[in-house]
Amino acid sequence: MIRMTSVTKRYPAAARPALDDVSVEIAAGEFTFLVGPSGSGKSTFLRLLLREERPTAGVVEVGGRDVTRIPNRRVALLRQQVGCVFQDYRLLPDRTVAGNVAFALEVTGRPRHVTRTVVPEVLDLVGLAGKADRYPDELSGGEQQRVVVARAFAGRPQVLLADEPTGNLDPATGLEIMRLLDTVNRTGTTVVMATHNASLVDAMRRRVIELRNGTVVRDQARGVYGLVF
Amino acid sequence: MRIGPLLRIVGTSLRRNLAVTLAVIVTVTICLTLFGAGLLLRAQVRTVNGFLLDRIQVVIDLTDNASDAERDTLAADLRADPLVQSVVYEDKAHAFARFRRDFRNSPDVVSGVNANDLPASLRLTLTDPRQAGEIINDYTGRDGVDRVRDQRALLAPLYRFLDAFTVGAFVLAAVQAFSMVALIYTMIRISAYGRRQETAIMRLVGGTNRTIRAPFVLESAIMGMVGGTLAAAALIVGKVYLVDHRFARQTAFPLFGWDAVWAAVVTVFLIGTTASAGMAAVALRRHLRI
Repeated sequence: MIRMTSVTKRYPAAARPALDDVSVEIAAGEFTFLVGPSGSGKSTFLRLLLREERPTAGVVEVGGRDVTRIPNRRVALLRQQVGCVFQDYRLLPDRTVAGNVAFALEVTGRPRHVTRTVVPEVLDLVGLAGKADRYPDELSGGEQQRVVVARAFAGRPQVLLADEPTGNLDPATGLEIMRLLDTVNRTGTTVVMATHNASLVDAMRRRVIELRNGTVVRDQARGVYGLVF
Repeated sequence: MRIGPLLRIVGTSLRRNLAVTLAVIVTVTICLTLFGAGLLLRAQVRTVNGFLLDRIQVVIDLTDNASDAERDTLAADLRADPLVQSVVYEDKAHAFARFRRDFRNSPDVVSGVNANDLPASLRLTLTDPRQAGEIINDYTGRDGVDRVRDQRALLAPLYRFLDAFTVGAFVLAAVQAFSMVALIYTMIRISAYGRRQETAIMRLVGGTNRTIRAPFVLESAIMGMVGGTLAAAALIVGKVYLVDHRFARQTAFPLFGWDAVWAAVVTVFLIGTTASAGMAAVALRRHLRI
């Protein structure tokens, strides 16, 4: 589903590359943690998959397509297949929970009947079926992040990218979001999650790719946050 | 994006930026009203021109001692001239009768003139009144001719007056157009900043460039439409209350008709809508990251 081949990304003002000759392959339906210290290249890794950035060298493929070669006008289609969840919730404050989820479907031109069907389904999936009419400022941080997951998943993307989705949450709430992402993964969606949360990674025992200074230093199936000898 | 959600976004934004929205609408309305007034003044010039071209003739004043033979030769040459459509001879008696009729409201003027003071003349209708200059050149100085007058030249001050008003209206419209452009540009900048989170989300969930820009362009187009509609209404009200009820009683000239008003109404509406939308599209290229 995702393949990076000899990918290097240099930012103009940076002394060293954000990613340096990275080659990684992630299969469809896989759940992968991306770990490493701040500045190790995790966010750049995700931004390349979203075509928020282009690599300086190398090939980035998502769903068999080289995203570096997609013309600008087709990038929107890529992003319909790659959902994303960020640390900051990025919800529209003047829309209800249901309105925020529906917004993603409206923007991509889904018919009204699809929106009416899908929104309650995904809100049920994330456990917010009873709070569809609440506004974001009436929700806890964990609930807001659930709405973001629901919005990202509403379009049934093939890939879900999560960049520190539990960064602003307490451990218990973070675990809830983790379980939610696991549920999404069980529907067949490939999930790539960048995180600093060691306990979550250790608890899940999924594939772990560790980056340091822009290079892959560890790629371990059923791994943990810190290297275990 | 479906029209329902699109209109909801636009409606929310227009309400949120109500003060700027009203400022843009007022500016667009003033700009387009002045532009429309300029179009109507041009229509008035054309109307007066057409009216005068039908009636005003080239007049050849004959000398008092012109013989009948000279007059007949002159008339025959004129009838043979392809530039001349018709020739009518007006003797001194008829000239005096017309003078008295034209100045019946000024008895002091009439009392100081008698039939012998006015020349006999040949009054010409030209096939193309704009070629009066050639007739003047060809017939000035001929035997029995005192002078050749293009009556239209008498109306030059009227044309200058109308032209000045037309130019003035267009200049003011241009100044307002500059204000309109600056306001729309500023409005888009403010709006793009205020909605940066919304557009960022649209981008992330896979909104196309067109979808992300559409609410901004539509918002601006709606302001242009409202401004265009108000300007059109102002032109119609001006026609009914100023032109038809006031000016029509004060002038002997015909005034522009409703066809000119409808043409101006459609023009200002279309220009208001497309110029506003176009300006928004240009501003978005600079202030909205897609």
